[in-house]
Amino acid sequence: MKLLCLLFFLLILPVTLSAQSGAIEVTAPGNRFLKLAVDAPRCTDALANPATAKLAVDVLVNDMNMSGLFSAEGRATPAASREQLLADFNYTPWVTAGFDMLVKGEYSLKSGGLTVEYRLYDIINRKMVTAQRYHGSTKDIRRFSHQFADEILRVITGEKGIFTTKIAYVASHTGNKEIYVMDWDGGNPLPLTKNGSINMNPDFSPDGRDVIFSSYKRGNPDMYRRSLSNSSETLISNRKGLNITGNWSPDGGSIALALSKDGDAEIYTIDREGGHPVRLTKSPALDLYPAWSPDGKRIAFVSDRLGKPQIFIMNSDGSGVKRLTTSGNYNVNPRWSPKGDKIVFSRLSGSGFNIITISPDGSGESQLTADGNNENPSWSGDGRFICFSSKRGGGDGIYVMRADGSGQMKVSQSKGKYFQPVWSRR
Amino acid sequence: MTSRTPQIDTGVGASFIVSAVIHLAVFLLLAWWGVLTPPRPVVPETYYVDMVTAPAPEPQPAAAAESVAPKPHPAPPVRVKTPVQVHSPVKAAVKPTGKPAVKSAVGVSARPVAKAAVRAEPVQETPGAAEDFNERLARLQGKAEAQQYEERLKKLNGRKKAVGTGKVPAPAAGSGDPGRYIKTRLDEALKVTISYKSKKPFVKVSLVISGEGKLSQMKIIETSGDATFGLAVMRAVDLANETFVAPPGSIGNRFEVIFHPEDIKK
Repeated sequence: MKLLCLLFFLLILPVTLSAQSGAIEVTAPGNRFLKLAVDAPRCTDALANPATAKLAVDVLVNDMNMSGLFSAEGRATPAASREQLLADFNYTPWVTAGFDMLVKGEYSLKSGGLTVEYRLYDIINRKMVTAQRYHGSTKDIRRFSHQFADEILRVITGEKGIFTTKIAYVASHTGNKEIYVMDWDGGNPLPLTKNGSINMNPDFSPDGRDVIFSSYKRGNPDMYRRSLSNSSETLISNRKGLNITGNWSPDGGSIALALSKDGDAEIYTIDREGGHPVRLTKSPALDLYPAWSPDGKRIAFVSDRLGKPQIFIMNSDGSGVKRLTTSGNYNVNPRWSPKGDKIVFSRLSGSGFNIITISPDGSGESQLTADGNNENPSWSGDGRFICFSSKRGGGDGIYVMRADGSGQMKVSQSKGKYFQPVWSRR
Repeated sequence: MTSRTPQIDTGVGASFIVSAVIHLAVFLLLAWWGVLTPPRPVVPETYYVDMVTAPAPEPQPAAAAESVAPKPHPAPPVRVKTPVQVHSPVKAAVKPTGKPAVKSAVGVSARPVAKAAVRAEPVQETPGAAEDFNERLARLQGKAEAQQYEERLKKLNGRKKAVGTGKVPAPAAGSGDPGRYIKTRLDEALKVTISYKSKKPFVKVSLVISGEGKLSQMKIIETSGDATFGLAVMRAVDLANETFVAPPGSIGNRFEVIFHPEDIKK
């Protein structure tokens, strides 16, 4: 037996030794932005519109730069290859200019319609990565560029971008507080309300088709649901007292909100038509700003039950209340990230409000803003970005930043006061 | 009542004897194998030539060809003046035969030239049309190779400019390690394409490099799930594949490669 074992060992040893040869390790230093050139789309008919082409480039470049993956710039095709076809062009000028990737496009304007084709090329490996064609009217050019930006992110990261999503917000430049909706980058602002009253706390339904908000248009802060497709408006909660800070559940079936029908503000859930109210909090303090976790199992909210407004977390049936924030004396506006790993909120400190993120277990606090007064943060649907209202340089505007606080950019375009932005989930 | 067979403990001695016998048997087997197997012909040294780096020693004419041919062999040329780095010049230089000398001087790309020189040997003995024909053939071959080499060098130089990197380091002189050679190429390519989103991205792949030096198979074994880094790795492999040079005599090598950012390990 011993002999057999020995022979077996002698036979196996060389095989074992050869199998232990390690894999080759390939490394490179740093992390870099991919250099992307966006070439102005070429008109394929006689109706060339340079403004359309420029807008297409500007929108795409802005989206890609905000993505945090690209360093993008609009570039005109080098003269030498101007005449070449979309499918067969000379890579060399782009290679020598040091680009990693290139977007080229063509468009045609016929009988008021617009057809755009975009293509993404890998300059280094000299091959096309993706291509898409869109058909619509000339006013759709921004949307088409956003759509292709989403496609580029899908190809590069495996996850579609959010550049076709919307931001709803409150603006007071008319003298009243009305709800508006705009593209994520501030384009196409459209009023959702024109009632000349005070409208506030908008929130998108998970499918992006409806917006709920609170309005004083009947004298009491009631809650309404407004369709984005047909402008119909439905009163969903006009209970006595406050009907405010509504937040749609991830499945779209219910809405968490603060009602003060019992005296002080408490967190309730109601269904999307306003029925079946369920009280979740029971404290003599103010309980406001409910925010659903993405799995719908928990709700974060603000309460001053300990004297100062702090953020708490409870189960969606009201049980298991736990305090989340232990630093700062004034923490409000919580919003759960789409992946569930972080909660963003605003904190009042000596210099004003700032945007903070924290893990749901209370660890890993990180301050994302430092300038001005920053409130009402809201996550983009993919969790890559956060929009917020900020008072900087004398004006109130809507800003967007990446989830790590980088790339802060003002997106509201006209003068006036803007606040309470909320990002649509899709 | 059970009867018990007495057992004798032989101790370590018996095991030692058995082990010694086996070792002796293995040794004899190997010795026998060595006697039976004829000595293998000397395999020419494998040199990996980096076409990008410079400079190279001046090419030396093949000594054997010179001794046989009174007339200098038609120079193949342009390529000879082009700087090419040889990784083991010392070893190559001491080799007595003409063929390795040419090889050491101009590297892999010069191999056909040496062949041309060898082929040209009988030319000296057969005058007339055959000589002209062979000379012209050698010239044509040389010209074609020079043209191919120029094109390749131009392409690589263009790539290098675009890539923005300097010299591509080659394996150490005489190392002859294809794994290291592949690593060098992939390291350079990943520097160009690296981009990632997660904290600890990595991708483990299996690569099969054909005898022609081209990537013939790639399989992802394991990944951290960072699609951005995954794409960067794919692009790096594509890019490196353009500059893989076939390890001489290789039929196909399989490599397992782990890609990750520097200082960020799996």
